[in-house]
Amino acid sequence: MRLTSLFYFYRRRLRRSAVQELLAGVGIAIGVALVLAVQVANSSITAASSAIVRGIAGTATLQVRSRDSNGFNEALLIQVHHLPGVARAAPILEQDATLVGIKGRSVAVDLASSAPALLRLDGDIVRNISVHDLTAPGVMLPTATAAALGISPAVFQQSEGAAPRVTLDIHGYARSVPVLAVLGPESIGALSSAMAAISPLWWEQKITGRASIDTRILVKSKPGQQALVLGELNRLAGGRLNVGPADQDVSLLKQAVIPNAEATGFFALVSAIVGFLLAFSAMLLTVPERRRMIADLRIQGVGRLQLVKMLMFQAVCLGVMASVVGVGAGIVLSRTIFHTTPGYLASAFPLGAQTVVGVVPVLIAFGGGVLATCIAACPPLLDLRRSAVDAVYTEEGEPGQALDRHEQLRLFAYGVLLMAATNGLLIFWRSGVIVATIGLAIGTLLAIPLAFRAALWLAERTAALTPRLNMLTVAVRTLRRSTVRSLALAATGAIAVFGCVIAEDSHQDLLHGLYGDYSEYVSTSNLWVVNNHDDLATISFPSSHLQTQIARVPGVAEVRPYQGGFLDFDGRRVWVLARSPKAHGMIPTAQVEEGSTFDPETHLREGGWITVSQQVAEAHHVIPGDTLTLPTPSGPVAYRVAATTTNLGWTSGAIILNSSDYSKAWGTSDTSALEIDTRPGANLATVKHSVHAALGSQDALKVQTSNERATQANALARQGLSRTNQISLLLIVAAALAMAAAMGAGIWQRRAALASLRIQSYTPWQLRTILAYESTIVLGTGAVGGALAGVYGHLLSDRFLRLTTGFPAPFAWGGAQTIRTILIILLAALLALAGLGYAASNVAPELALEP
Amino acid sequence: MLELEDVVKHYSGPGGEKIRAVDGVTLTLGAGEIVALQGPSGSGKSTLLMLVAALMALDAGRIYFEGTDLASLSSRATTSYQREQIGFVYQSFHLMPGVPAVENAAIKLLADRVSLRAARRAAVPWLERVGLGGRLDHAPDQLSGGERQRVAIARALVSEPRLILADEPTGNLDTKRSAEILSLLAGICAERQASMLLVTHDPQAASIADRVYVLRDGKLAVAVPDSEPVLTPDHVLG
Repeated sequence: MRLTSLFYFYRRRLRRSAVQELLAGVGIAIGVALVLAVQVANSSITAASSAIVRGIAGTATLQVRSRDSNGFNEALLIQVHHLPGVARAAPILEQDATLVGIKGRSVAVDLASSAPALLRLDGDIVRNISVHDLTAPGVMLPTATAAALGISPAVFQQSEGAAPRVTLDIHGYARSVPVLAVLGPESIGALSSAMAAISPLWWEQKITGRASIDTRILVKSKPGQQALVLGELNRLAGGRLNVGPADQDVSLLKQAVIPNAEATGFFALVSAIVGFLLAFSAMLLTVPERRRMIADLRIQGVGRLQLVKMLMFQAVCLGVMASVVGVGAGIVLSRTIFHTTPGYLASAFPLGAQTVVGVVPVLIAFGGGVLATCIAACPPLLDLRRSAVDAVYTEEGEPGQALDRHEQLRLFAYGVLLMAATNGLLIFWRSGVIVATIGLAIGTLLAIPLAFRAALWLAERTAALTPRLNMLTVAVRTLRRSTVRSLALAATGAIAVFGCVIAEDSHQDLLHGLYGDYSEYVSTSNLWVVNNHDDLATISFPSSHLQTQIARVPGVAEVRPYQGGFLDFDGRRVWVLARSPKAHGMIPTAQVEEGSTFDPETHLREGGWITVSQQVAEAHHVIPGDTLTLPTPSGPVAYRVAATTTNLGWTSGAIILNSSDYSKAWGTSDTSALEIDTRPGANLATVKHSVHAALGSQDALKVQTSNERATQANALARQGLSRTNQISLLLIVAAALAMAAAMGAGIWQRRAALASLRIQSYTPWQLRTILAYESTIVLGTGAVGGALAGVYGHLLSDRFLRLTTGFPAPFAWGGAQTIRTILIILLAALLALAGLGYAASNVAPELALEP
Repeated sequence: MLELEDVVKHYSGPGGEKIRAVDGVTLTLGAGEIVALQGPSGSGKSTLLMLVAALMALDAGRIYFEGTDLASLSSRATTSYQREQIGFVYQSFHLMPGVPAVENAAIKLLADRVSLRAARRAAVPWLERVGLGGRLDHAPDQLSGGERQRVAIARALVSEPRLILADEPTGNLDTKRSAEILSLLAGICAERQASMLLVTHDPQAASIADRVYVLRDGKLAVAVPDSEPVLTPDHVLG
């Protein structure tokens, strides 16, 4: 068949069935858009961060890094300079701080400083920074940070007037500092979108009380001498500092975003399955017509191969058009709705906010869309196996609509077998959840015909009860005569509900898991004293004097130190939580995975024991009772594992130990929070106020009740999971629209039949009743089938989130939540249908008279 | 029984121009009488049937059934008129595929809150009357074209209407089947003293009609055999 003939047939099809083609295209485009948007959003986090890290490091390939925020003496820089093979070295001091700008707007920043030596490393980001910039006292702000603080770059274009000032909160102390410049992308590239502040090293050391302290040294080796330099740096570090590639933060961030990417990726996959199956269902609507066309052309002598070519050509045309739209929509989504980066990561990594659209994600999404369309277009080709070319015309009911009882039973059996096989895999393959979910989705689709038959049987029995339900009788007969069309519509409903129940319920489980974890974690005391914006309590401040002061406050029963931070441990940046042995609870008990027999609480209080996240334990092949050596700032220290836990909401994993062990190994008594118990009967608000007054010069610290802290953590969790929330919301909207469109197309196709009923004296109201019954039966069957499968899919999804990503995601069947999701989809679909149904019920009767 | 007085129905054409589909038609139809309407496609024949069935509003004129102006009927009364007095037969059958003949014939009764069982019982004699007593449970795809039209006729008659409106009932049938269907319709009208307004291209229709008219450009004229219709007031009945 010539290309012009293929185009001719496709043009003819588009003219005749534009609505169905559009509907199928929308389904495919939705799937492509969601998959692409999530891929781009996930990869953009690391791509933007990579641009920042590499842009600063420039030609440096190695680094020496402190294992905690206390840093090391800058004398080390001179030693590094004198190592053989070292060409250049530049010091950096990085600290977490909060800046407070105009009208009290505050933002957590990475306060980074360096010396002019950094400029000689020739990094992209520092290329436009002058020696003067790295010596003048004050901070320079990237445009994103300045905007968050309410500082306009225009301020610096005025020749006169003092530089604006911001308040720098660090280690509990607040200082007013001048802003020297606001730097845009033309000056500092990707760093302009980060929450950061740049300052000269000497000035930051002075103003933050970190005299002679650095946290990192970037090292450029002479050509061919990198291995030598690496060895020398390791010798110099003596097991107390981390030595590695200059862009190590990027690989640590990549590791940190894997669980998050996997979680959102799983949600995107569910969306893609739904998108594909919606498209498949939409294509099913066209099956009868395509089958009749195949029969007509075969009668005219067109060969099988030519027909395959023609159908595949049409599928490729549709797939390409829909995928192009999907790619465009995906890019828009990734630049708008999915643009935000998970805020919790900002406490540990230099994050940018650029959206980077790579070629690979586009190709994957585009190719997947075209392939899915081709697969969805295949069912009519099954007729080519038949020797009777006009078999479609001899079937019962409307030509091409037949699906007899045996076929329905066979499909059901295939569905059950497929679900059993793919879910059976889980016994041997713990991570086979994705395969099981796909099997479940397809199995659900295959089970729909029999479920639909059962629904019609039930409706018929109900209708027989009273003549008042005669319109139900008519609706049942209408649905029965157009089996494939009805099944396509029911399948659309089932898949829509299936996907939405999984996405929405799993999202809620994640939120409940994270909130439950954090609520339990902070509930061990009545009040907390922490740095502003320090959600995870990882930024330290001196507190020995403060503890004494607070202990004297009336109503305070006890003040306990809490220490914490991040530790780079074998390719992961883990969260370290160190609690006082006197704390009421050392571990959030609901987060313990294994080790309850070891009485982890008691062991942790004794000292020498830790708990680790399951994925950290698995990476190091340890179980409770084994020994695990941590690379602490004082050198390697061996601890025994008392229990394994979830990741406590931190994607790279967490380690809990007692504060005595922490102080010893980290060599510091600085705390990152203070836990305060109030006396029985004391007024919490009054005590809180008094504690704040007792902070003295460290009034940049914040006093929070455990409830306030839990609420803040909940907000952080919601922000971190905003993408999964956005995906599930988009899925609900897409599903409702797809269902309304599918039902609408089905109703519109039947206007002649409705006109015929009008002539048979059926009133428009009766036609509306028939349409409502039809929609309810179709959508109801789909919704119930989809919900049942969705509840099981939700269980699988939680298993995936717990085992693969390590998130706390306890399964809870949200009955009300599931019903709410179904109702939203059904109501949205019915609302969207109402107008079309109304128009169709008022069809002009003369339509039935057209031959 | 049925009187049409200067009935007018306009449509808007694609260019916004006014098309007079039915243009001042006056006609009467007595009990048991069969009137055939002929005319080229688009001449307004089907529109006239829709107007008589009260499925379309008039732009001008009056239609009386048993002395009652159809325009004065309430919505409920109009439905009742359509349900009890009118039986409609049309060219493309519009039977529900996959549904047995007896249920297809009974479909109109379901609209009137008759139970399915009672509706089926009521439809059986009519199917027997049209010669399909042995095919009650056959679905349309198991019936020939002529048999399907018989089911459609049974469906139109099941409510025992006094006026049958037939729009090209033989349009999809061969000569032999057409003759059978026309003869059947004529026989039923005679039996039940029902009137019939028959729109057809079929020259055989004249054989069963008491009068034959031609509708051209919305205007009605008496058909003169083997000659052009003559549009004179003398020829217009009513």
